Amino acid sequence: MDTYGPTMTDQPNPITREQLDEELNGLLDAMQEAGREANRLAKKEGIDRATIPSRIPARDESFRALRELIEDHVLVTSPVTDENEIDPWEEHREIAKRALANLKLPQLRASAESIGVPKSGNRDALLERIVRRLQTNEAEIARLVVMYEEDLPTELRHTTRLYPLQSPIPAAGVVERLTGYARRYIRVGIAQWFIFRRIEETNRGIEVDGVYRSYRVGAAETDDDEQTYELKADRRDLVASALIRPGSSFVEMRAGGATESRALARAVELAAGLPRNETLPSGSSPEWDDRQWDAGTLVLLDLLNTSLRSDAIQIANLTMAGFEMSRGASSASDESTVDKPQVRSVRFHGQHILDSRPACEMIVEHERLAHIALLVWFRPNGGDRFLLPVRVDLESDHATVITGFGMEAREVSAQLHRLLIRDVEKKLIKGPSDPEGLRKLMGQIEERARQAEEPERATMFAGDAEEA
Amino acid sequence: MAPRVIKDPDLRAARDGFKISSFYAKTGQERKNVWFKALDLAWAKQRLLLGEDPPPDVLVESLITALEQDEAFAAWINKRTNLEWRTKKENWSLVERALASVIVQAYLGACEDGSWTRTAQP
Repeated sequence: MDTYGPTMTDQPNPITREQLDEELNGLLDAMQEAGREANRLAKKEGIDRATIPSRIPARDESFRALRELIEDHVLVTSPVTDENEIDPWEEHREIAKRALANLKLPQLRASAESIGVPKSGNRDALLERIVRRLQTNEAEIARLVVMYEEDLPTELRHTTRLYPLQSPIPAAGVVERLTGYARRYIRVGIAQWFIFRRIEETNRGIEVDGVYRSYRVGAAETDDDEQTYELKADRRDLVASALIRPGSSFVEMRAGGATESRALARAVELAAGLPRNETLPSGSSPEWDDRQWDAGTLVLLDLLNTSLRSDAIQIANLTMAGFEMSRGASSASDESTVDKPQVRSVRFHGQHILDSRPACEMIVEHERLAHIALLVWFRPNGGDRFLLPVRVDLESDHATVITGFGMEAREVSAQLHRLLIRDVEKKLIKGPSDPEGLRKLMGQIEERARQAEEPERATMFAGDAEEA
Repeated sequence: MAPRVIKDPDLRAARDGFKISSFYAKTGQERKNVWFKALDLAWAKQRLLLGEDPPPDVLVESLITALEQDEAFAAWINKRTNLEWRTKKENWSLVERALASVIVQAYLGACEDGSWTRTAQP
């Protein structure tokens, strides 16, 4: 059962669901009768026997499993139901599979393991197994998706984008300049505006909320018979929100995607007179080391080695590492190399990724580690600990920190999120906070990159892997 | 060569941990014949539906319905488990699937080496 669904050549004549169900019921009746016959023989032979207390009959489960297995090979036509047309049970099952199919294979394996089903096999086998175990338990399936999805939907995560400024935000004068823009708009590009809806000074800083409005415009023929044309414009409004903290060298965008965040950063630059730094700083290259690894790589390694390896936070599993390639990138527009194949970025997915040899080789070869996704254990205030998904991206002009809610109260993940933002900010401006620890880690990474084989166990970035 | 039926590590662990192969080996030939005849029927019916030899997991899934009736197997497992283990449905599902896989493996091997001849018609 390596492929999902029948092919046209498998079954030229489809069978009906009713025929299939009748066949399967007949088969399972015969199977049950065979079971009873074997039981009678056991009694006759005087073999020890026992009944199972609170046994839930397996027949329904086997019936459904068989039906699914056969439907993977044979085209089956099903009758529409009265209300929903599709059989509700089948519909729920497929929706559950669809939700889980968003997970990458390593995450799917981890999900399977976490609910006690075998983690071997291909994607289809894993989906079948998980859904068969959980049936249509929507809440449990949603929990797995939330726990293991790297690209969480916006409503299930805290997202902050840090846009760098040329100099720290002054303690005075900014709110006064911005107040004049409340309930006003400015143009930030061709057919693009930013509308300031709220500007307020709070104990956290200056909060700015607004809407980025843009239009997607095209030309088309009119509907009437004469050959005339008209412009068709689709308006798009995207909500954005920023926090401006005096003393910080970044404007924090706390809502919305990259497009509206960039527009708000531009609007704040214009309105508050806070010039942006067009490129993300990455601290300075350490004078204490001559390996010349990418400065962004060192920021993320130091983050993993200090902020994510503390009494409050421990790495559970580093599941993704993304690299932006430096070699040949600048020659992309050169006509002589326009046809030349080029790799611009590489992403590794799996478990304990930065402990793997290929990832270590990329670092040693000076490629830029720019994206990490991981599960961390967070123990706020020394109490209970919580498993939460985290992601950090270093883009060319901003950094993004994402903290998933996991299955906990939002306040728990918000606390972790704030800690990570402050640490990322500090490291981007000042560089690594633990040079000695980082130097030791760099030596381990070099050693791992030279090893002939993959290690048996993760040792460098696996804080508490066993329990994840 | 007959395909390997037990691929999952959990099923292998259940087979070995509960000595399920021993249970099968100690089972009398008459009871084994009942299971094999049931598999003949499952094989024939599903071959008709699929238009090709059915994969082992389809045979395993069919046989589980027969095995849940088997009080001799329940006694075998009871001797090796405590009450807490026995109250969990998923534990029974796992060992029944492991036994079904062991039987299907033996069945496919017997059909291949000619020691069992399929007889059932759908």
